[in-house]
Amino acid sequence: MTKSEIHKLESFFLANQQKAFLFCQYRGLSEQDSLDIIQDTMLQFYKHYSHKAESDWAPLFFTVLRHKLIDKQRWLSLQNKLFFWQKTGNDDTSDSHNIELAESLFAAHAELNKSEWTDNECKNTEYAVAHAQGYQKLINTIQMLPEKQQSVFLLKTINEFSEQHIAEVLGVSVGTVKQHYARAKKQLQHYLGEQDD
Amino acid sequence: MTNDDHTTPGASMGTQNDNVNQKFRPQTPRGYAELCSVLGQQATTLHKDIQMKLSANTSNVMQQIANQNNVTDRQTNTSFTPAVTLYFTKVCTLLGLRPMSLPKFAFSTGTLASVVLFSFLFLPQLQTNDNVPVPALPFLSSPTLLEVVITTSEEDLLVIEDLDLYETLLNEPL
Repeated sequence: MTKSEIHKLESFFLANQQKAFLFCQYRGLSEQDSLDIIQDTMLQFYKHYSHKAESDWAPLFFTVLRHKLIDKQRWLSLQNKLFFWQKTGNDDTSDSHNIELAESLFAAHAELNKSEWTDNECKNTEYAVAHAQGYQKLINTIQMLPEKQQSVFLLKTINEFSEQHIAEVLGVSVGTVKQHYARAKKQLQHYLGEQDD
Repeated sequence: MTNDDHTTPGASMGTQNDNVNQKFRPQTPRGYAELCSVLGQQATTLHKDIQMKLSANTSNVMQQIANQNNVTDRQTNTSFTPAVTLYFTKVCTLLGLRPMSLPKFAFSTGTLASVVLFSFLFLPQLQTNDNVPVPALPFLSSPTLLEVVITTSEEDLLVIEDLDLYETLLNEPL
């Protein structure tokens, strides 16, 4: 691999690391597990797919990431069954990382509405903490979605992937992607108290 | 809590909090479209600590890739990664071990050390001589001989193979 190719790969990783992290967090993984999985994914992606066309990198990267997440969640589930008397996995850390997620969700909400919101509201941490419960409920609702619906929803909203790319990541048809997305949307609209389309 | 409370976040706050709700904006995105926009924006509003950890993570990966490709003049951000950690990571890579977090490493090392200590210090003490095979004595093969072993001390064994001698010994103390 030449220096310029390595530079391109680094730019790709830097552009996608936050999205990958959010993807892991919404799947309920702890911060440390998320970082470990992202690092593994990057190394595996470099080993097997870095020679592919750059336009295919994003779907391939998230395909590897999704498979690693599924493996990790299976392992955590097995661990919980084997060591049922002690709290293993992410249960103990889920609350704290959901609070962090809620904080960044609030920050994103404030960023989007900074023209309407007052400066005090955007920066008021008391306001963020006081209303974190609402954001946490929303995060829980996303986390409670079935795996495929959740993946489709996150890839579409966080990564802004096309349906074709999402279909490649999930290894299903575009029609199935549309179906999963419609179901996820319906559930979230129900949570938000919105009328279905 | 009613169904309405569940479907409309923040509705359970009650009339007491109406003033607060009027003072502040809605707690969560009001509609699905706004939710999608907020989630799309969220990657840029991650906490600075997380962003730094992610950058360090990527930097470590790129360092490994650069080493594998013999690219040595790559500038790495080592401002928050000590040289010792980088050296340790390099050694781990050479040994085919993937980098792991400090708590995981401490746990693995601790477990390994406990197993080694247990094996070398405690297990030998638990061993007994019960299962050590006793060498066959010559008189056992002959049914005519009396199988008597008199212990005089811990080391010395006196084997009496003659019936007459045994009778003599019974009458006279050793």
